[in-house]
Amino acid sequence: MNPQHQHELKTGLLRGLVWVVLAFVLLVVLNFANSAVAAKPVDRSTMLFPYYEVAEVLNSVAIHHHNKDTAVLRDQLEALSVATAQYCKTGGKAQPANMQQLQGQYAKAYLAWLELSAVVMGPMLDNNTVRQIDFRPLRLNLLERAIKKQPQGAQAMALIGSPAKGFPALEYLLTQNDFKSGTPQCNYAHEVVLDIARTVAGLRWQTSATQANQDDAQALGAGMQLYFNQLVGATHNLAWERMEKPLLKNKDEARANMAPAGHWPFSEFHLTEKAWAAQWQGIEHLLMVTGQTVPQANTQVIPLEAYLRGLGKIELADTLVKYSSAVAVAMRSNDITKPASVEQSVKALKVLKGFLESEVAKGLKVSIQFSSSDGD
Amino acid sequence: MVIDPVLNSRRQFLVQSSALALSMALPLPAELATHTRQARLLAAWQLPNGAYQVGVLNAAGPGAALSYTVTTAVDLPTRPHGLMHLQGDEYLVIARRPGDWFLRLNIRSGETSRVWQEEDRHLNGHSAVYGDWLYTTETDVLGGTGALAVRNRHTFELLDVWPTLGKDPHEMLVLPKGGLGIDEPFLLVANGGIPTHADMGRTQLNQLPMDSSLVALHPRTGKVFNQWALSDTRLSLRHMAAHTSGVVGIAMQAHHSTAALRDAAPVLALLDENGLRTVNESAGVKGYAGDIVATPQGFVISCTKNNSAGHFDMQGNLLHSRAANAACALAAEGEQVWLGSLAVEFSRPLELDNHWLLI
Repeated sequence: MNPQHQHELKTGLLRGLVWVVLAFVLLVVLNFANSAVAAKPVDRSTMLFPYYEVAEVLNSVAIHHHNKDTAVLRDQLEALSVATAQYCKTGGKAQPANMQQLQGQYAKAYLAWLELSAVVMGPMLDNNTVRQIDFRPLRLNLLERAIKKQPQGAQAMALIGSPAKGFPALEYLLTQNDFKSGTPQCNYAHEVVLDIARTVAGLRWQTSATQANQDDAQALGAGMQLYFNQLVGATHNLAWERMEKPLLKNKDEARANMAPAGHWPFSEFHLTEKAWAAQWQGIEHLLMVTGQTVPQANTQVIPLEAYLRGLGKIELADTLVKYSSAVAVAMRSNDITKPASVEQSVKALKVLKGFLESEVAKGLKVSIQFSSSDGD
Repeated sequence: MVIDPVLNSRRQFLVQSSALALSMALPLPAELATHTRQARLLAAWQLPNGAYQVGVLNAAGPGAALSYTVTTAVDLPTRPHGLMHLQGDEYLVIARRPGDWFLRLNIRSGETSRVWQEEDRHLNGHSAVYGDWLYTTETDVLGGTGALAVRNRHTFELLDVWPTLGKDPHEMLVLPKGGLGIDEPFLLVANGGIPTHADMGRTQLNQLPMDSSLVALHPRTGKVFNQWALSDTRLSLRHMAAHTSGVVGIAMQAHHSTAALRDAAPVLALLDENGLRTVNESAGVKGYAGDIVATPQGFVISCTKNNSAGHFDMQGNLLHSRAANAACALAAEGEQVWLGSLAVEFSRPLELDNHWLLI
């Protein structure tokens, strides 16, 4: 290479390096700026909330929450399907690292599912989706029978009962020592993933008609009533089913065996706290305004807080933010090795649930049915 | 009245002496100002802070001025419903539908042990015992169908699960041989029939058909002896009491689409060898009966939403009724009936649940 070309090459490399450094600095600055914006508390005093129609609220939840979360879950399941297929086809050469990768992808898919299913609505209610793909407890005898049967495809999997498939079956298989590539267990696991993916692909989020007549008004009123009750139910499910019940079960077990017990949901994958956080995220998104701008119904979710502010119920909205924020703070501190932290979250969730059931329900003139107070 | 804060003590067992004037005795057959005998009742309630407890109430005082003292209180994780005598000093408390726990409580020592229900069926709040077997009414979460779980009375080990041929099974009775023309002892289960969705808690799916009935089952095999249903399918058959004559009284709740239809619906039904029939005179009480007991003359029902209680004879004639704010739990022995209600002069100190038990 002649000296002139050498000089040009050096200059070019130097320029390239300078650009790379500049781009890096720019990225760091942008990232810092973004995080500064994200960390900035929402200033509601400068926001002017419009009156949102009930149809706008319900449609924003269907399209900008549930439908979006469904798309995320579909992507995660596709990646899980690829990962499972790859693992199962390694011809007995699967390494521990492959299993870790597969378990990692399972965790991502399951957390996406928990976020989507935190507030069960629409097609998930109609199709009984939770029971189809996340039925617990898993029945091991039925799972073993299903593995022997080696079903393939939608029709064959439809004949397998929920207690032998779905996320719990997958979760169990991925923790077994005999889960190796090329085995019937591996083949069945892949079919289970495909079955979950088909079920999720079948979720069609419909929008409600805007109010044109009396029938529409009644339907929208019923829709809001259902949505609000499901929100209340979601806080109950997280507080009681997912957190307090295992907490009390552990205490009962410790008392009976005179030894500490620590059985937490999804602990095999070290997912307990993340699972709670995902579920809370699926609720929080529908409760509080998190951005710096007033939510627009055609592009964003209208959280309950925004709806209340639009109705002029400022005090209710402020209290909702207060109690929801308290839950958010408590949820960030959850640590299953410190049961007091879990108790704190349960307490905060119960306060929020109580407030929704009593004050907000009254403000919105909806009746509480999820946890109806009748004596039975 | 002040509720002593030690009700929430860590030991969860205590003696508390403040009097609760929130109930009354119903002297029968007429409203006589008789001095009722002292009684001990196992009861469940909600505290003003929203927490739930089960415990023992001592009842004393004359007639309508009867007052109660809490002598034992045990904290519960969620709202309870049915109470049942298990053996000796031991009682069983079951979570309200959809329930996930039941509790063995020794009322002498205060010892408790809790059993957690598997997630595939939820408890519906009632139980019964026959010999060494304990039965709990439950709902299969996957199919929404009624189930009767059979357990060992002492260890609570699950032995079997039988279908109840209906939805939402609620209270059940163990009835002796010869009752309702059946030649063996049998279980009588009230299928409440209310359809629900596993993801919708207690929300009643009123747009769906109900499936309420009474079913008589063999207590050892689950074999069905007989089944009865009403022509009005919006009536939920829920709580029952057996009269010494063999007639069974059933307290019902109406689930019609309008308040007017619910108010016009009867809330008492009678079952005998001739079949199941509603009692017309029990209508007009807002379609809700919370509890029922048998008396020498017939049956008393508590009409919680109507703030009243009514006494009916065996033919279904109303003998008398009386106002009682939030009338709920009932207990009876001979001529005496105890009715749980909320005294107007108190600002809801304790909210009593539907049932209690004389101990």
